Amino acid sequence: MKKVLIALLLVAAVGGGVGYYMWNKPPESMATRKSDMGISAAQLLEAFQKDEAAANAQYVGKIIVINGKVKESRVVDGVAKLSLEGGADGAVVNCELDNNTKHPRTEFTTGETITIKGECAGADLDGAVQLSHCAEEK
Amino acid sequence: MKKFLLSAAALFLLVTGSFAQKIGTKDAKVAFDATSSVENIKAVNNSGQVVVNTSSGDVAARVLIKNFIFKQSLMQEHFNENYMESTKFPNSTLKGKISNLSDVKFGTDGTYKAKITGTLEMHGVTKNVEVPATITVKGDKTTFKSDFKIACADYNIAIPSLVADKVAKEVKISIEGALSNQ
Repeated sequence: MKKVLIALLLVAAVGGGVGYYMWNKPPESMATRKSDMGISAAQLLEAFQKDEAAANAQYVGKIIVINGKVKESRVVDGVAKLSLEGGADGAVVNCELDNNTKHPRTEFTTGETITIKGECAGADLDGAVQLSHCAEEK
Repeated sequence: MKKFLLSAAALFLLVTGSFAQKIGTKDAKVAFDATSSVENIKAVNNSGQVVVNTSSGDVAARVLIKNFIFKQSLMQEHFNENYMESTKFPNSTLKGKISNLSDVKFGTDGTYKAKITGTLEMHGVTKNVEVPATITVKGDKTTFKSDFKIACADYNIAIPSLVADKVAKEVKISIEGALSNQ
């Protein structure tokens, strides 16, 4: 009887531990997440410019590997952000670096071409497309 | 005479036109708090967009749901997949006007209480809202701050009965950002 009780207690403790770990674990780093597709900044911006609803349906929630030229890079209140040019009328793809990734660098040079992975979040009021939780792909 | 009138009209338009200014930000911090007595539920979005037309008083704000950052993975997942359905409804957008525009002196240092009347679209539902905001002008810096509550039920955000105690029925929203010339 005692053995059964101890065994049950152990299972409960392990179960509790696993549950606690699962509940409290932070979101997965973008660096290890699998991408759904690759596209250029220009192509992504064109899709959203053409038909926002259709582009939302096609891209929002997808992990996209995107390449483009850096227009601007900045750190605002500890949050690293960059924008990639490529759209008509100066439209950009805005990328916010992932909170759960150790980034080798958080600042980028204007004009450099980079490849970055992030989750498509949709378009803002000006037609700029947002990628969330981004991490640079080398 | 004609030439004079035309130039005067052109000058008038130029002068008044230069006061019609759009100020805004794409870095507004939007925080939401659905903490109940049982569970601590908080998230922050660092890329809120706010645009204010200082002459017409038009205000527009948008936040992309997938940008919200939670400490816990499961909470972030549930928020996106079950509550906000962010793949279906990627953003929440406020469109309105400062109804007491004459009380807000954008060109003069001071703290002004503004009332924004308009619509809030969230989770596919659009509702008429009146949202308070504080606009502070100090030199060339203008800051925008707004705190208000929304009821989940108003926007068809269903809270399963199993977790009814864990999620607050009224969620506190707070928007804060520095507005600059757009």
